[in-house]
Amino acid sequence: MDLPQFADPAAESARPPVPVKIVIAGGFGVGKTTAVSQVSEVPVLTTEAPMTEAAAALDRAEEVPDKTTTTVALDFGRITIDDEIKLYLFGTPGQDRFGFMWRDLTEGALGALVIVDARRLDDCYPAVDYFERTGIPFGVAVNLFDGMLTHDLDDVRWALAVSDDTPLITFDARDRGSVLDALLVVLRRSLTMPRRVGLPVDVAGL
Amino acid sequence: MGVTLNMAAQVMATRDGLLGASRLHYEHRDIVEFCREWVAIAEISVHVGLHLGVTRVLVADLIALKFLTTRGLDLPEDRQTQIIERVIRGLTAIR
Repeated sequence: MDLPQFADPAAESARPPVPVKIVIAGGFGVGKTTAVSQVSEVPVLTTEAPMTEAAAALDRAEEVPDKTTTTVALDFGRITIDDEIKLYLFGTPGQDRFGFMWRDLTEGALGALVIVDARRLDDCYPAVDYFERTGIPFGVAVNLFDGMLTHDLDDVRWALAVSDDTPLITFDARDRGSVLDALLVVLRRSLTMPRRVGLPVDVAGL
Repeated sequence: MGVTLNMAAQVMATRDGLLGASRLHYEHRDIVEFCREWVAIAEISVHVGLHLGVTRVLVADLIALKFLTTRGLDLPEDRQTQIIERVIRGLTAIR
């Protein structure tokens, strides 16, 4: 029988890494996975999250037409910040019917980036609403699909009804520097907020 | 389960875990053997091919057996600013 290979015995007592995370929210096809893949040091990984107990409460068949889908894909990537900190980026669908996942996703998050397609603003309302209500630091990034902004940013801010101090930027999910800038906007916002690291929050109705 | 394991929480096999892995079955053994270095719950889920929720349950079993050890996302309040600033510096450096 093979004896197991030991990890360096010192490693077990060595200080564990400090994991931190940022949530990337947005509708389908809005550029979440593209954005994560631009900055992740590993190929974007996909895991499946089953509906949790929280989902059972939401399980009103008449309001969830495609109820047969009981799992949802969760894309994520990783960036090693230094010898101690590992940053994880988790992408999540922004629609209301995935709301059961948000508490799990945002627990312990430094902040969230909401990616918006200016032609389909509806997709991100629930996420924006959730982050505002729970006080999770977030920024909104309008993805410039064809390099052009179809709406004035002020109009987008008005339509989303986000507060004036919520950062609202344009970015290109295909451009690494642009994605990093968007993450930096979220982190700087996080620094200015009193509750910087999302703690479990129970929100009625979710 | 008392503590919910965050999907980004770090997990690593203990010495007992590596010694005892051969006595474990199926997914429990796969998990311990994958955790030779610190990995996130979500990474384990991908590697072992299990849903996140199932992975959490199995990892919790192994933590109870002291075969795995974990580090969550809880940051002491006085370190939060420092950690965020370091993440900002780190991302700026690879910009």
